[in-house]
Amino acid sequence: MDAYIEPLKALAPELLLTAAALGALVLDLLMRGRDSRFVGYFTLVSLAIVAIILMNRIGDEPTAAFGMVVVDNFGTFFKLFTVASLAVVTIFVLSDRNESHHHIGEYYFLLLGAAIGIFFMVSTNHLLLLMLGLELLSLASYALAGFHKGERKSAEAAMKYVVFGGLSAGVMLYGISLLYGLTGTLDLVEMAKSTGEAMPAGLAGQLTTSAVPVALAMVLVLAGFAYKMSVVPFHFWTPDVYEGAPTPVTTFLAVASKAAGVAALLRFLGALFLGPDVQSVVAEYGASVGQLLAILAAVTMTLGNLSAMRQTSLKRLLAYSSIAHAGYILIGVATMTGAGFEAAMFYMAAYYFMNLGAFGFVLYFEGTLGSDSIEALKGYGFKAPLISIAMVTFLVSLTGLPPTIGFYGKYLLFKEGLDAGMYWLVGVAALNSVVSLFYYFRIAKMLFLKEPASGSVPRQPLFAGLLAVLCVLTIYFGLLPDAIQEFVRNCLLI
Amino acid sequence: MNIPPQQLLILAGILFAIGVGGFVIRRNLIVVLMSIELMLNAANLTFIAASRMHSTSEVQNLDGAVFAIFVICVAAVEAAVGLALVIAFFRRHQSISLDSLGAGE
Amino acid sequence: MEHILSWITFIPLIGMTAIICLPKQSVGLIKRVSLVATGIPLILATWLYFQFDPQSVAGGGFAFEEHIPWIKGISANYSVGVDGISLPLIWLTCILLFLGVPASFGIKKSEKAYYALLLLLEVGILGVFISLDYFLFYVFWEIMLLPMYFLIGIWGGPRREYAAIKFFLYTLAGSVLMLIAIISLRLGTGTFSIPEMVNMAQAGLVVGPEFIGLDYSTWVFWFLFVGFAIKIPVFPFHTWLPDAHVQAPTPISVILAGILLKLGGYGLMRGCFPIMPVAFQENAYALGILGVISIVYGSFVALGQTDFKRMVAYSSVSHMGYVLLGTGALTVWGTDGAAMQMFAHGTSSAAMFMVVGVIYDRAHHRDLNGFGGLCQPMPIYWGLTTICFFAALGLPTMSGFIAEALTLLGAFQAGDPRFQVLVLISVIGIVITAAFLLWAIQRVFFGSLNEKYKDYPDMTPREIFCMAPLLFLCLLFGVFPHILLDVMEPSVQHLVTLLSVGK
Repeated sequence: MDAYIEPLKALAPELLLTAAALGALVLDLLMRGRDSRFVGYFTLVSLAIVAIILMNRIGDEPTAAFGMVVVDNFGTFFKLFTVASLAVVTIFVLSDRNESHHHIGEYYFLLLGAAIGIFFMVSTNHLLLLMLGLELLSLASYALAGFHKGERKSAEAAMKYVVFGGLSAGVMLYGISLLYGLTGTLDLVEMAKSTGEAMPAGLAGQLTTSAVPVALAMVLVLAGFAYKMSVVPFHFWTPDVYEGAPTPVTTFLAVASKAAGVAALLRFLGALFLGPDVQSVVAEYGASVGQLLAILAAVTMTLGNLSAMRQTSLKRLLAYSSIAHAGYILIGVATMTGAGFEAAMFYMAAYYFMNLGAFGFVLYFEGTLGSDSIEALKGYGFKAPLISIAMVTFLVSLTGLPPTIGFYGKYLLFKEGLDAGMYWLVGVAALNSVVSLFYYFRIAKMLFLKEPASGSVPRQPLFAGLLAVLCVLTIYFGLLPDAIQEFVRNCLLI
Repeated sequence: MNIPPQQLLILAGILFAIGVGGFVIRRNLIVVLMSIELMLNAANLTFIAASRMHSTSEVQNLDGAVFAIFVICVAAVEAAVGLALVIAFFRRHQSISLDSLGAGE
Repeated sequence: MEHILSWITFIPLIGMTAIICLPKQSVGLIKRVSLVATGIPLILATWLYFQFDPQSVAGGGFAFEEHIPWIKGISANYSVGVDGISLPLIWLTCILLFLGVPASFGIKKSEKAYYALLLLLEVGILGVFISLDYFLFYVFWEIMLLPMYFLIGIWGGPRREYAAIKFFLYTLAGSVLMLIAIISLRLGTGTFSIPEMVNMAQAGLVVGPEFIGLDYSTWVFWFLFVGFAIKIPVFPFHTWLPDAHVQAPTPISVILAGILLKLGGYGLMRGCFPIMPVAFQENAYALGILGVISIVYGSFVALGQTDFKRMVAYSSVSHMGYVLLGTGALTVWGTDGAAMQMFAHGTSSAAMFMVVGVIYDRAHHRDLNGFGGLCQPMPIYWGLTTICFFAALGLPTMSGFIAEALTLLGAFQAGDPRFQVLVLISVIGIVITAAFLLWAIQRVFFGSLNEKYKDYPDMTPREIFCMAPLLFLCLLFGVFPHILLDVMEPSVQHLVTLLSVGK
């Protein structure tokens, strides 16, 4: 029994989340018929407790649990990230005027369940647990996307999501099975380290015989990550799902789910190609993988930006913008260096602020005007100035202009890209930033440069306050990013 | 009768290809879900075959078999969620053709 | 005074925060706060100007320096200082922004937002002039763009949205090219500090990889050049200017022409040429050609305009061509002329836009052919406009004359004899400039008086207050140019020495 205490303590955050999820379900059952906001508050409290446990963990030595779970700073970073995003999303759900506050217990249960999936995804080097975490996240997300059962767009979005998600799950699993077949192990670190020539062979052995099966397996597995991160060509679900799902769910998908994909990809590539005991053959192969990622990055950001220009729905526009941002993040990943990964992680942190803010604005605006059409934004800035100024700040950050954190994030990515010699990629990214200005500022134009229609906007101080805080932090960390950069650097594996 | 694992791998590959093909070509939502199941089962078969390949007479490498069991479980859940959403979708759209999904873009 | 540069730069920011906290109805208070927030930097800058000892920067130093570590992660520092080239421009910024506030009293919509954005703009502009760290420079450079977008886009003319986004996109495109070059310089030299980069450039230590088929010093030079050239604006990157100027409200046009364009010229002299002296030498003649094209093309197009403001906008393109011509010649007189032209044009074109603003406020159109005989109802206006236009065309006793004369003389003396041809061609520009300016005076003020303008009120004290100091400065520095030149000379000489490395 004692042998289990230590690993269970290591898993305390996950266990707590599970308890919270089940607790939310039970609480909702008990309170059926009355306002379900209490379930939301319960969720927030449990998230706070988890966050405290996680923050106490920062700086600890990495430990392993049950041979599959790795508890290290990298995982803790992304777990904190998830908890922080989930807290904001919960606040969004609580403030969402559109939600009838009945039948919402399941909402929180699903969100917490997805979080459990993310927690496992980001803290493992074992492909089985990775797959399970990913699937848990996906399944919870399918249900969340279709949560507004009565709405046409929601059901459609969920259907598309399931179909695409199922495809990518199948592809990824087949890829994992091929990797297992080639190497005989499911542990990524093992795969990179072992040198055996005959079956079971490590990756090194396989690569020296022939790189083709490994390439095939690698591409198939990367497809799964590409799907979660909305990278071309597995991005097709993103616009429809982001548009159709309830806005808090979209926020969750855009921020937490994408971060989970990034985290899993970083860990996958880090363990296989950049670890300390990796065979040289495998490390060299990593360079080719980096080149593939570079091409994907270029295509993704270009397609995301060009498609965003034609959108009339704000949520769809932000969906394409998040596809483009996945492309920027891939620049950092494609460098296949520790500094590049650090830049990608920093950009995720920046992304947290600006994207949560942008979607918060969408939620607010949707709640007051009933639609997310950009045309309806005419003159909104004069009716709700504080929130609109915050939105402009987020837009500036998304474009990558100083003095926001988005600029610093892009700066780091460009710098790592240039340092790694990928000048052409940075050139493409720079051009894309200019193009993105065009559609981001179309929103700003509608907000402030057009005359408002009549009518006033009801005030929601809690919401406005949250957006204001995010806005201030976006600028503050844009001017003084050292704190976050130090934190990211400490959390990096390599 | 001992089926050589290589043949199992080839079979799995064919199943996977059929699954992908079915996904791309067929318009019926139920058939699409079936194709996904087919792909997952192809992965299962590969896992089992690989598990056999990597086991020697002294040491059994059961990772693959265990993975296959988990995949079966996940596939079942996915099918359940997927079918539930198909029902919700059907109630709204009165059709289960992929074509009626094609809004937007 | 400790940290005087930071005070000058950030007092407008304090003013902006104060304005944000005020209720939007108390317009009078907002205007007073703006006056104070721009007035104090003006006083400090004037004091600074006359405190400055030019000899302290002879040989390439900087005065009133401050160094505070800023972002450890990339070793960017809050590193500021002035030399003889940036100090007059800082002074000009404070003057123009202080005068811009009363010039903006005619704005009647969302005043709180307007003045807040105006003060933010001032912070950005001043920050660029004082920065000695390239990352800091870039941050301040970009901070200017957002207020300009809104200032043009909300308070501008009928096509303001188009003009605003065109301005933003154009400038941003140049800026990202600059960013790539800056990052590359940082990776190659290991520092963001501009003085250090310049020192390394002198030793030939600034090297790096090729890009798009060009070798390192060439592509970095051109990327930086394009980024700054768009701002100046140099032909063929000037197409954003007419729209931005025409659509912007008068006080914003004043600031745009008066000081924003100079950022391009300053940027070249501070951050492009000294860091890539070899590439500069190789391309100096091309720069001279571009300058001359701007001079002649700008003046010819201005001649053909019927919109008063568009005419003045193209005259800006023409005048800024002298900056490139003078610097490209690589002589002390030439660069003196270029630096002086930046100041002189700042005062004269700012005044010119105010001239346009006065008549537009009354007539609500800017058609040059639609006016006539205005010297009768508005004699003060006529007098001041004539002085202003004389300043613009470079009449002797005006600072513009000194600037253009120095530039052309310097270019004529250039080591490269082909510059003499360029000088001869630029003379055409001078003649055409005189032509369109005098013709404008004739069309607007002389001739038969159009009945509907008979009762136009002459210039109000506020309008005179905004314009007169600028004209006074034009005259002052035309008669006593040494006030400017003494400050500029040591830094200009050092710049020319830097650029002539290897010759």
